[in-house]
Amino acid sequence: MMDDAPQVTLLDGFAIRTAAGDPQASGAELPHVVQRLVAHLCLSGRPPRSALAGQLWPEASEAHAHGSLRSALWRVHKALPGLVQASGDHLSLVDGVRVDVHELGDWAQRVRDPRSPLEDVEIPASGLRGELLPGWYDDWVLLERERLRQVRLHALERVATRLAAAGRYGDALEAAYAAVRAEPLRESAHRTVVCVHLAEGNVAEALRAYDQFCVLLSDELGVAPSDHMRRLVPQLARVPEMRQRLLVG
Amino acid sequence: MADDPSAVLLIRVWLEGEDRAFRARLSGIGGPDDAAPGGSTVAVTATPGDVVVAVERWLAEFLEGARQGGQ
Repeated sequence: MMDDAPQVTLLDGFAIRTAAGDPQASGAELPHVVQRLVAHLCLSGRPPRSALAGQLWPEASEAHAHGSLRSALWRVHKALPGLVQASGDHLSLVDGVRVDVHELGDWAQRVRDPRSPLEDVEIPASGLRGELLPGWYDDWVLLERERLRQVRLHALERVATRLAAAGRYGDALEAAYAAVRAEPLRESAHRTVVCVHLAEGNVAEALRAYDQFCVLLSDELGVAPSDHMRRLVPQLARVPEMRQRLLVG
Repeated sequence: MADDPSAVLLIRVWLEGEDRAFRARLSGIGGPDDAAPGGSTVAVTATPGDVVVAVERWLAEFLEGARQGGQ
């Protein structure tokens, strides 16, 4: 991938870097309608104009929505010349534009493939970023935000397990805790944290993580961890004196 | 909500562990109390029944807020 290609960031907020000379990504100064059109094209690929107009202006009449789309396109061409192309009735970003959401999806796909070598599943920056376009409430954003959230959660847990198996415990914990942050009540994410600590031989850390999850579950839901989680904790942790020594030490 | 009497309630449900224990997080998105980027948590529950209760309560609060905003 060319480094001087335009880059669009949608995770943790809209930003765009249009040329290699730009010191950093920006985008907040762009009109919201320009941001929405570019973001939608990043997520939808190559939609027909009618579908794009209908999704961006769902409450407008068809004629009004098409007029708004024409106006938005004019503003995009003015603010970001050369970024969007038309082919027949379809619109798309020009080839080569880098989008963090696409990088996240590609990474998750490699993680899902057990044949992928470890160097191909290194966590990209997009894997550790937050939600898609926070503060945007359009239906097309909400649905995609949830899909990406699930994709990211599963990929983080899976890659954490692979990194731990390769002895890269620090990186594994970073991935596991990123999954915990995304959903603090998700037991499989906490199980991954405990498993990484155990794989590294840090029984006390594993117990601490387990206990913290027990407290969280009890406070929030009034329930105990599943048997699956409980079985992870070694037998020795059930001996009170040993447990005390481990946690204090 | 007074200007735009609409809101979104997101219900995330999942099953945990081999015993498939039910979990749910309900998040309000775009409402007046939505300060968090991913929506504000309305409730977390471990039973489907509690989800229904939380949805009813959220709807009642939404309608009450809309009524007050319309006055």
